[in-house]
Amino acid sequence: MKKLTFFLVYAVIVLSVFSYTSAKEKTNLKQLLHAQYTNQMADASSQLNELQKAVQQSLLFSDPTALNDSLQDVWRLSSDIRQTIGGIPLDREFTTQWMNYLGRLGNQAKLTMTSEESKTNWNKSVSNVASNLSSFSSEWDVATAHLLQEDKHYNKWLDQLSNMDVKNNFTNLSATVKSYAESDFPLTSSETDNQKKKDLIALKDKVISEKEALARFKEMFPQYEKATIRIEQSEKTAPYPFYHITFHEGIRLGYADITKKGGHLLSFLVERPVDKSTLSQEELINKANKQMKDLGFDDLEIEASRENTMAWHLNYVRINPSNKAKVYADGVQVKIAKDNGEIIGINGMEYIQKETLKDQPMKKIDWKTFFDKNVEIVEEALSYSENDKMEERLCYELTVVYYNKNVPLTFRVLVDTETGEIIKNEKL
Amino acid sequence: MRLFKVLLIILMTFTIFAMNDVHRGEAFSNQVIARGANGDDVIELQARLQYVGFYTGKIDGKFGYGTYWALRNFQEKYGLKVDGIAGTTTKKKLTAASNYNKEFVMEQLRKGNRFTHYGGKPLEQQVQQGTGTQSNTQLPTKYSDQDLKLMANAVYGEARGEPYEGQVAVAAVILNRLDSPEFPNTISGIIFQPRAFTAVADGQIWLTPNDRAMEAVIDAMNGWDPTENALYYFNPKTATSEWIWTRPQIKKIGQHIFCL
Repeated sequence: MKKLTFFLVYAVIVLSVFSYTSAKEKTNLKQLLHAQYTNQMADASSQLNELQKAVQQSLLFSDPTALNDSLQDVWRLSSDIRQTIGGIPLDREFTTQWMNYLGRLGNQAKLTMTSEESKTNWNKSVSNVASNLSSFSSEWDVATAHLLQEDKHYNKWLDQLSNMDVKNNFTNLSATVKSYAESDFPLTSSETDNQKKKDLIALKDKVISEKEALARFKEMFPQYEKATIRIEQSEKTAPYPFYHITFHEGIRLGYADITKKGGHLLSFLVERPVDKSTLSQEELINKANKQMKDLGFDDLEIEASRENTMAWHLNYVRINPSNKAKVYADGVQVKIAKDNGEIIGINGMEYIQKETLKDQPMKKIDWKTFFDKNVEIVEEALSYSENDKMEERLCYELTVVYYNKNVPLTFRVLVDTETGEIIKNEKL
Repeated sequence: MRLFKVLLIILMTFTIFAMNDVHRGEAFSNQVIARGANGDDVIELQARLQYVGFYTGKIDGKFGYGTYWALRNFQEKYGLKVDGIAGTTTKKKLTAASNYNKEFVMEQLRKGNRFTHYGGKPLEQQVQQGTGTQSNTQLPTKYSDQDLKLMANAVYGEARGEPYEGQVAVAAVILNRLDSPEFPNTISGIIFQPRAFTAVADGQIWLTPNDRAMEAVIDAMNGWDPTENALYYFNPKTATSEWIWTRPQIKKIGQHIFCL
């Protein structure tokens, strides 16, 4: 009996010490987190003030150097606040809207530094931005004041976030910022163009039925004629409507998404075990090319290929028939199994709506003076690529090699054929 | 008797030499390899090109531009057709001109060591302790091996019980956030954004991902997006946030609803 009592007392003491230590550690951690969040919150407030000043300062100058300094501040501060806000647990809707607004403000400032046209736009919108930021700053102070009180710890912080009054404060802030984003930085047509994947809603093709979608799927992939197939429609709130087909046949399990308008293939992916024996690279690529042509993709060319454990990933780009230029924005990605060259994946989302390409002058550029004397041009082609303003521009696409202490460094440089501006410089 | 011994020694020497030569000839597989290829054949190609001083880059089994230029230079020097493709003739010539210590190379790769394979220098002097195992995956240039590892951890932690499509979908949501101005602009920033992923909050992100999760991330990085541009997802059975139900829904895959 004595022994049992001893063990019980001993166990109770050990448990008490353990619970006490754990509780203490937890409290310390919560205090630490609270301190960190408070610190970030305070940082966000002061950065907001700085940003407000920088935006106002940019109103003062017409001298390009002075204006650029202010714009650089706006760009840097908007990025800093985004980083800070991203690290604080705040109302998600508010955080999203606020980061969106700051992103747009920063992008606009960066664009203004490089483009005359944007400078005019900046001058038009910046006074609005300045006054919006002023009133936002006041609302922010009200909404966050009690989160910065010293005697609160992490639990209270979280309680306050879920508290109705605070939530309302943030909901108001969220709505305010959303309205600022819409008024100060409306989407330009080129930005809308950039969102082509999301803009499949604009498809004008005839709506197809579930039965027609299924027939389309079987026409493209006759090997799944006898598969167990399930077809569903996208949710009503989806930005563009599509059919979601899942199928299962033997070792193959996969899905295909097909647009309701026009029955275009958005995406197709199959999961299956892949044998260790592999076909040669040449055979695989030839097989892929043939299958793609059979599927109706007859204006594409392979731009890149990458071998991985089970499959090759191939990047196809559309070739513009008039000048044979590659259109990167109208790409199709293909996955082929290494064992037999079967296509086990197609991503055709970007190919459905082809880019509108404008005529563009082609000025001759002297590459000898354009590049360093140690740079060798090894390949020259034409391609379309998006510039900072999200416009598709015709470019000279140059693959160049630079030998740095006998080590060859390869780059792909895209130069605007009209302005000579470098649109992209990518290390390969 | 002495003559017999001499003859025996000569014969044995020839046999060893001939066996060694056969080993050299059979070293590569029959595959023709070119830019984009990945694997043991490319490892051998890089090691052999390095042995004869044409390749100065990392021996990693990835046939990129570094290997391509080295191979072209070798072809040019040896009077072969200069096409940057390792076909039968090129491989034969390279095998004859170089040595390949497969055991050494594979061991260093397994250990993740930093090493070279130059001829004329003891191999043990060409090794430096590395940082562990290295990835043999080829990704689009904008992504790194670290991105792949982090995303695979996130996908495995968040969706390991989901169908393959659902795993690609979770990876695609992370990448869609990367393109959205509403989220942090790095993959780690997105994954570790406070309250963004359950797997981060409950520590499941630190589980070791399997090959399926890795493959799902590779597909997403190569462009597949079964979510059709979703930015969020949730499990309707376990979601406690009212806010998530207000998001415009796109489609359901497995247990997850994907939304904007």
